[in-house]
Amino acid sequence: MMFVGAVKFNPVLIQCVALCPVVAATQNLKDAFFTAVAVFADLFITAFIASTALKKVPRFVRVALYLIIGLAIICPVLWLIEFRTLVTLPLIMKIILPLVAVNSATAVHCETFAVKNDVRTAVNDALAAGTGIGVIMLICGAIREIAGSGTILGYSLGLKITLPGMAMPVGCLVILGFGAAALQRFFSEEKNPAHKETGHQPEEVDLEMDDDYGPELVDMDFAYENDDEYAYLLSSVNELIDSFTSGEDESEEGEES
Amino acid sequence: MKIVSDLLITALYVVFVQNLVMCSGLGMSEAIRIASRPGTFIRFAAMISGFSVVTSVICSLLAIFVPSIESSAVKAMLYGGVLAAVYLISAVVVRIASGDKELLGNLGIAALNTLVFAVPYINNNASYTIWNSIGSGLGAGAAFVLAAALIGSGSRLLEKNKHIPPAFRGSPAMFLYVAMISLGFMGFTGTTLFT
Repeated sequence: MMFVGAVKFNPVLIQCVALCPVVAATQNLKDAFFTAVAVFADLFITAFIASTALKKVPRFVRVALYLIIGLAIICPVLWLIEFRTLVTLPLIMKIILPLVAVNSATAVHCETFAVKNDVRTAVNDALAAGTGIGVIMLICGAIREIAGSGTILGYSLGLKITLPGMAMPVGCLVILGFGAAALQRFFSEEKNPAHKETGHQPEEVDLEMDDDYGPELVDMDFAYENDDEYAYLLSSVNELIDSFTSGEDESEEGEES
Repeated sequence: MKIVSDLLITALYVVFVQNLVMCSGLGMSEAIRIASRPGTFIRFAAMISGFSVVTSVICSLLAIFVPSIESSAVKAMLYGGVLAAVYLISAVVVRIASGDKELLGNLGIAALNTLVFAVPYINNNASYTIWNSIGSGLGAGAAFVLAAALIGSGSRLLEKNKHIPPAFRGSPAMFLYVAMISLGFMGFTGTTLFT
């Protein structure tokens, strides 16, 4: 489940969530690390609370509580960093870290998974998603810092050519694009190893979920329904948004009945 | 007249010169998710503008009455609290008035995203006036609908394009397409790409 949630259905590359923290806060490895820790902690703690205490709360209240919980996690740490340590955060981090409290990964994973499953399953999903997002952040942070400014963790690598464009959102999106393509390629080859040996291009990319992470647990149909890969993406994203925006709120229904 | 020009200039700046979605990545996940639903663009733009304006104005007024807040953690709690309160009041009103659950769900997406939450920070850091703040709030909604429309129209073309290699179909092609749009918007900022 961890591998499937973190890699095969990576929240950033496949589900297209948490893009703001990834794009805005991975200009260098240090910022990426701080943001990844914040996203992981926010997702993990919020999912835990959602699965234990928020199942009976109406959905429209829950989504606001995710923001409050996120701020309650991040702000004290930010305050301690500001006033009790010698670490100086750049201005952009002082803005981005609180924004993590409203990142879409937390809302989507809590609403589509945590509140519909037991604590252990919800925590496992949060661990997988948080790890997936964190790894992508660290990869983007390292590549963008090296290519954009010729340094790593602030130490110069002595590169003669740098690409300042990599520090911009366009640089991050290009990395994400090629990363997502590599992931699709890897899993299509894993599914059809003969393609790798013969060099034959697979006609379809099958990203069907494993049984242990399937709809019976997730209540989301990620299944690959037709030959059109883009339709797969839209259908999975739309499943998420449908689940998030539709009136299918068990707690509300229960409350009303 | 100055009020109107302040408002318009800030709104245009937020939409075109520093498009918050494309140049900063704010609300990008939501823009991609909404892009496949062209019929909802205007509704989302209106809601995002509404939440941004109301939250910005309240936060600007708080900054006038409580000017000594320097800690970014306290600011975050304040802005987040205002945003959560504005959203909850709107949601309760919608629930009581119409009970439309889809609208209620849309309100959550429109209010609780990084784009709306970032607008008070931007106003505060730029020392915007109330009118500038209203302009940036309106601009945030327009920036969102512009980004969503560009992503949506491009994604439909990508969907039809059979020349895209299989590994790049879907999210990879869309990321690269969004990168190109972002690059276009970065052109307005005069940033250097290569040295």
